[in-house]
Amino acid sequence: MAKQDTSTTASPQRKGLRLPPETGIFVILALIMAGMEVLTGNFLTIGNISTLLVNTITIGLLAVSETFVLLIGGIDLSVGAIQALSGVTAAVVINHTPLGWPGAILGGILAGALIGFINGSITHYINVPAFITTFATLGVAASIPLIVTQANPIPIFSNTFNALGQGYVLKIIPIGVLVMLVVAAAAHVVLSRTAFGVKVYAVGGNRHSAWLAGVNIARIEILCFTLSGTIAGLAGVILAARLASGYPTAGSGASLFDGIASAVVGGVSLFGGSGSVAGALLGAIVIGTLTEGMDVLDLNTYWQPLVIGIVILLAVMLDTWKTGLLRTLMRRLRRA
Amino acid sequence: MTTVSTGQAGSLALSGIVKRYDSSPVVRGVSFSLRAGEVTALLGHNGAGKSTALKILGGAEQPSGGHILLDGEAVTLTTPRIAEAHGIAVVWQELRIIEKLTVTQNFFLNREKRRGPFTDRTAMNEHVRRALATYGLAADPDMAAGALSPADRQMLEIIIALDKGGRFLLLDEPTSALNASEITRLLDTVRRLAAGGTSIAIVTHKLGEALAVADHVVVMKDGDVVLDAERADLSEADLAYYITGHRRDATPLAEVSPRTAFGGTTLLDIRTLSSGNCRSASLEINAGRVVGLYGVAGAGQVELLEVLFGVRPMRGGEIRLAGEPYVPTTPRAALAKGFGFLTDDRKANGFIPDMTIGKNIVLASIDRFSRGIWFDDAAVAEQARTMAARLAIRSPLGTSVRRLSGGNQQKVIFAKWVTARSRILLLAEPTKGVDIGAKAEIHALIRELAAAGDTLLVCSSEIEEILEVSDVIYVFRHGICEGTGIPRAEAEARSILAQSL
Repeated sequence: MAKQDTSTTASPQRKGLRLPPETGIFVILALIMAGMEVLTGNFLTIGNISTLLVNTITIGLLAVSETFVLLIGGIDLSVGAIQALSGVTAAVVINHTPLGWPGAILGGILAGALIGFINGSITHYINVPAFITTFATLGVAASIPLIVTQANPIPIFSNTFNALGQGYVLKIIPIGVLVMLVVAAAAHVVLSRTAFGVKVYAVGGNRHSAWLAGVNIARIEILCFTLSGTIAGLAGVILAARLASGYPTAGSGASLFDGIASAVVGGVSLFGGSGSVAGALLGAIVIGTLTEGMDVLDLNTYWQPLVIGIVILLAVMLDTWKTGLLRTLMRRLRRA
Repeated sequence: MTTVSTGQAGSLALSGIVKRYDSSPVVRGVSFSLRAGEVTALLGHNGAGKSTALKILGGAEQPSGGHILLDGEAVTLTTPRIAEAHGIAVVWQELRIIEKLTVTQNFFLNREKRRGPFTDRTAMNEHVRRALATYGLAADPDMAAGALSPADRQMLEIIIALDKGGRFLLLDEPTSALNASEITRLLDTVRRLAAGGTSIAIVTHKLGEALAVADHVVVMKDGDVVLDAERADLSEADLAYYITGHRRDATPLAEVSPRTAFGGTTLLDIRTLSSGNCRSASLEINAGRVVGLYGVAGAGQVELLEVLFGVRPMRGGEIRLAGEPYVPTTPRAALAKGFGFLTDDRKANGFIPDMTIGKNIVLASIDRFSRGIWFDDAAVAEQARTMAARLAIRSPLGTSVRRLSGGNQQKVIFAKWVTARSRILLLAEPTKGVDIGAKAEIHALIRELAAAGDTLLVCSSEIEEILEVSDVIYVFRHGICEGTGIPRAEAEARSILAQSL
C-alpha cells in the first residue's frame, strides 16, 4: 500500500538550504548599512548607531503593534494617534494625581489598550472593516488630547519618568531601546511559540478553516487589536518621556505609515497569515537607518520621503516576486 | 501496446515530450495523439503528469524536450492564446468565468466585436443567443455569469472554447463539481461534439465515466505513458491496474464485513429539521454506523451537515444527541459535543494553507497540545508522525498543506478530526478531487473508524461511493428526507437514483 508520492520528489524544498524568510530583509539592511558607510565614511560610529536606535524606538514598537493586527488580516490606523493620547494621559496623571510615575506609565499604556480593545470589539462584533474602525478611532484618539490640553503640550518634570526616554543602562544602551527590544522579543516568542500564536496565524491564514476547527475567533481578534493598542500606548509613553512633555500632536506625522511600512518591508503580509516580529523589527531598522543615513549625508529633507518610498517599493516587490515565483512553482507541481 | 500515429491530418500529438521542474522530471518522454472526432480519456494517479501534459498541449507550459505535432507538423505553443489560434482550447478545473461580468462579456472577453471605437453589444448578444441555443444552454446573455450554476458555467466555458474555433477541446476534471444528471448531460454533449468532428481529451479520475465516453484511453503513471489503447479492449479493473499498479479487490467491502444496519443505541435523532435547501429531514442514526446521504446537488443533505456542525442556523425541527436536546450554535460548540466536519471545499475552508501538516492536524486540539501557554512542538510532531503513518499521508511533515495532493490534503483533514477525538464525523464529498489510490484509502479509513465505534454521516454525489461505504442509506429529494433508511444489503443503485429525482 505504501507508494511513493511523486509530487514530493519534485519539490524544490528538498534541495539546498532552507533559510529563514527574514534573511531577505536582513541582507537588505546589511547592504544599506554598508552603502551608508561607503558613502559617508563615518556612519557606523557608536554615536550614530545610538541615535539611530533611539529614532527607531517609535517605529520599531509600532511595527510590532501592526504585526499583531496584520497577521490576522487586519490593519491598525490608530497607532499614531494613540501615542498622543497615551502621552497626554501620562502627563496628566503625573501632574494631577498622586499616582506618580508608575501611575503615569500604566495610565498611558492602558489608554492605548482601551482604544485597541474598542478597535477589536467593533471590528469583530459589528463587522466593520478594520480600516474604517481604526480610522475612526484615530480621529477620537487624536482629538481627546487636543481638547484636554487646548493644543498646549503638558510639561513633565519627573526625572524618573523622563529617564524612560532619556536615560541609559550601563551608560550606553538607551533605556527606551532596551524596552523596545524586550517587547519585540516577547512578541516574537508569543507569536512563534505559544498556542495563542498558532491561533493567530491560523486565523490569518484561513479564517473560515480556523472557525470550523473551533478556534475562538472573537478572542483572537480582540486580543490582537488590544495588544496593538497597548504597545502603541507604550510607544507614546516613551515618546513623552523623551520629549519630557505630553504632546497632543504626537504621532500625527509619518510614524503611522512608517510602522505599517516597516512590517510590510519586513515580510508581514498585508493579507494576513505570514510574517514575523523579527522581520518587522528588521524592517523598522531599515527605515530608521535610511532616515538616519540621509541626515548624516545631509540630504535635503524634501528628498527623504522619496528615497524611503522607493526603498519600500523595491523591498515589497522583491518579497512579492519571491513569493509569487515560489507559489506559481508550487501550483504547477501540485497540478502535475 | 502503444500505437502512436502522429502524422494524420486532424490530429494533435505529443511526441517524446519531457518536462522538468528544476531538474526533477515530471513528464518523462510521453507520446500519444488525439484524433479528430475521437474522445480520449487521460487517466492516472495524482502526480502522474497528466495535468502537466494537458497544460503543455494547451500552451500553458513549455516542454523541456520533445515536440507537439499538429496535423503532423511541429508547432510551438508559447502561450494559451497561440494554442487557441491553432484551434486548441482548454477548459480548466478552476473555471475562468468571471462571475460579476455578464454571459456576453465573458463570452467575448478580449475579443469584443466593435463598431468604430465602441463595442457592438447588439451583435455580441445576438451571437451569444444563437450559440447558447445551438448547444442547449438556457441562459440570458445579459445575466451575471455568477447566477449560473457551476454546471452551466462549465458548459458556457465549453461553448466559448468551441466558439473560438476549437478543433481540439481539452477538459480538465470536468465532472468533479457536477451531480449525476449534470454529468450525464456533459458526457452526452461530449459525444455529440466528437460525432461532429471535434477531438476531445478528458483528464479524469473517474474510471466509470472514462469508459462511458471515451474511444481511446491513455494512462499515465509516474510521468510515463503505461497504456495507450482503444476503449473497447479495456475493463475498469484493467484501468485500475494500470493506474495504481495493483489489482483492485473486486469484492465490495459491504460484503467483506457484513454489519447490521439496525440495532444498537440511537445516537442522533433528527426530526423534521429545516434550514435552507433542507426542508424537512428526519433521520435516526445509531452509534458506530456509516450513514450515507444521497441526493442531487441542492437537495438539502449538505445543509443538514452544516446545521449539525453549527455552521448554519436551524430554522425548524429538533435534534436529540444521546437523548438530550442538541442545539448547535457554533462549530466550537459542535466540536465540544464530539462532532467533526470535513467540508466539500477543502481549498476554501478545510485547512490553513501555509501551515505545516503537523499544525493542521492539531488545529482543532491546540489546547490539548499545549503545556500552559506554550505550544508543544514535540507532542505535535509525534502526533503528526502517528497520524501520517496511520492514514498513509505521503509527504515530509514540514510541508505546507497547500502543496499536498488532494488526497493527502483530505487525509490531513481527517487526521485533524481524529486527533480532536470527534466521535461523530460529518463528511461532505470526502473523495472529491482525489485520485483513485487515495480514494480507496479514504473509504477504508471510513470503515475502520466506524468499526472502532465512530459514527459517520457521508454525503456523496457518487452512488458507487455511497454503496461502498454505507451501512444504511438515506435519500434526499427536493429537501425532504424521511423514512427509515435503506440498509446496505437491500440497497440498489438504480432505485436510489430514482428516489432522488
